[in-house]
Amino acid sequence: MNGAPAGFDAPMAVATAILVAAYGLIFSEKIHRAAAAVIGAVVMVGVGSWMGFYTQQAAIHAVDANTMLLLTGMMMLVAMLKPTGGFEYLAIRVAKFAHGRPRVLLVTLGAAVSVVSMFLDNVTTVVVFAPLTVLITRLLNLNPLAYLMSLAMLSNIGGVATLVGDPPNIMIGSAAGIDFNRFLLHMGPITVVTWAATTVLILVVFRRELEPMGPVGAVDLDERKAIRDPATLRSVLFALGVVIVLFFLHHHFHLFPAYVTFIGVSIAFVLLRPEIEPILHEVEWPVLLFFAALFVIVGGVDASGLLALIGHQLAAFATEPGMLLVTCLILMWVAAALSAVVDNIPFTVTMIPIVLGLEGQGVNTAPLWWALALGVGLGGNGTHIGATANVICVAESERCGVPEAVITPRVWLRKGLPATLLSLMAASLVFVLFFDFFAGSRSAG
Amino acid sequence: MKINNIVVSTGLARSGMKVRECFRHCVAANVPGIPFVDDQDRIVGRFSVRHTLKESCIPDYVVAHAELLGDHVGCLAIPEEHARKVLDTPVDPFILDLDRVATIGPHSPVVKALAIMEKFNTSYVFVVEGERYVGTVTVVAIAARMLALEQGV
Repeated sequence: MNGAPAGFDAPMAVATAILVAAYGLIFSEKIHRAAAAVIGAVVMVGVGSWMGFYTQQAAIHAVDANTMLLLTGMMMLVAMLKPTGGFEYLAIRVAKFAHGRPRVLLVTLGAAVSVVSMFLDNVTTVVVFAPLTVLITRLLNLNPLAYLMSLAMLSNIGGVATLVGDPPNIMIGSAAGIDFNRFLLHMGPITVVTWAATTVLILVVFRRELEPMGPVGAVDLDERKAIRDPATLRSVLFALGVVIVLFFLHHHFHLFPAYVTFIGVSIAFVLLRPEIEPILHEVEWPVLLFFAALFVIVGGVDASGLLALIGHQLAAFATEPGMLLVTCLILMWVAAALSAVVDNIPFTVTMIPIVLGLEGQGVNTAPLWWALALGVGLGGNGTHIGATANVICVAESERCGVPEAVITPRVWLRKGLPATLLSLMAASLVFVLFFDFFAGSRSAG
Repeated sequence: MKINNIVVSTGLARSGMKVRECFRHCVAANVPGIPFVDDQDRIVGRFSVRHTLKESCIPDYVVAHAELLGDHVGCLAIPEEHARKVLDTPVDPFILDLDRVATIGPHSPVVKALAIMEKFNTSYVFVVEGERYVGTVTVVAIAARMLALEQGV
């Protein structure tokens, strides 16, 4: 990154224009977001090279390989786990544990999906859990509405807790050098508080929808039949177990999280000797391409010196006594507000170099990383389109054939937005009360 | 074995017809589906009993987990009121597009009919001569004809 420049100059203006145009194209959804980002990246590298503020080599260096490979590895493990039926088995067992009690079912299903989302891609988790949740609730003569909304929201909240729970966390952890344990230590407790607050509010706002719609049925589903391939399930769970254990230890052994993931992938490959094409087919290449292109775009803006200039301005504010906490809270709420209406990844990718720049100017950036992770993670619950998990559950509610279960944008605003605001308030409260704790752990990288 | 030996003539589905009437045509001829035709009796789509039942009675979430269902799933049962409502519905929303209509000529060999059924993942094929609908051939009719041939009928 360039040093803090004297003022706003032509390269910064051009880089900003390309960034705004690319983000505008991405958010307009006129073409696929990955295609829009690639076009933006190509223009940024071309114009940046021509103007002399960016190079092809710098663009390649801007792509965070740890983030890209970590995501790829986890997608490959999920691709091997998904067809085994393990997710379905878990969902049915959890549903049976509730013994048909609507509120207990909501809490247990929510807890299960949150825990799974802490370690695995929450989109996959929701894709599997959502139709099964509809089936379970219909068997019990319950309205699926509250369950589908809580599934999306609690899965998003679960993802906030760990380094690997959500792509923004992976990016933040990778950029800031935050290891798995430190991430969990700082975000775990605050996630538990926000999870509990959200769950209680969901139980309150959906109290009428949680009453059975007729005679209560039973969860007559055979979870043993859900396991389609027990041997593969055991092998993939073993590989995942190794990955999770190594996540807790990776900083001791100086292992990159991405390398840890590929240790798990290799173990699964050795144990299963699978066909590689179907696994690679399940990897979400458009998502990875989108992320890589965003890194290149923001790398260009960074190379123009604009982010350093913004960081320089922010540093003057954040270093004033007492203003660091205010900066963190502003960052958290702005991140949440933006994440509720647009994709949180572009915002995260843009903010990361700005926060890194602040560190170079003597600002304690540790609390800013946590504030950013909380904001982008919790903000997605604000609207029906704020996170992919929300979109999946909305689509499932429209497909399920129960008119009362349809999650309209209005329903989400009436029921989901208050829960999001409460979760953000709870997170802010914990953040303020334990600010010294969040501020006391400077990043290592 | 030629197609014209085993073809079954059936009724036709038309725009605005009720599901009830199309079901009656299918049950009467013992076929899983009938052609959907326009005013000039040209085939423009297909009415399928299976597709109609799937669209009107079985939600996707039930299909996706069919193998997990036990026998005590009363809450998922199709109420009589809903069944009557389905029968009273016009067929138009349940019609499959022309690109999902398998056809064959009356002089084609049976092996061609079987191959086309495999290709379209269906158990029946419409027999047409030019643009004129002749009838329907089903896999069961082919099996019946094979048994009859074995017995010298």
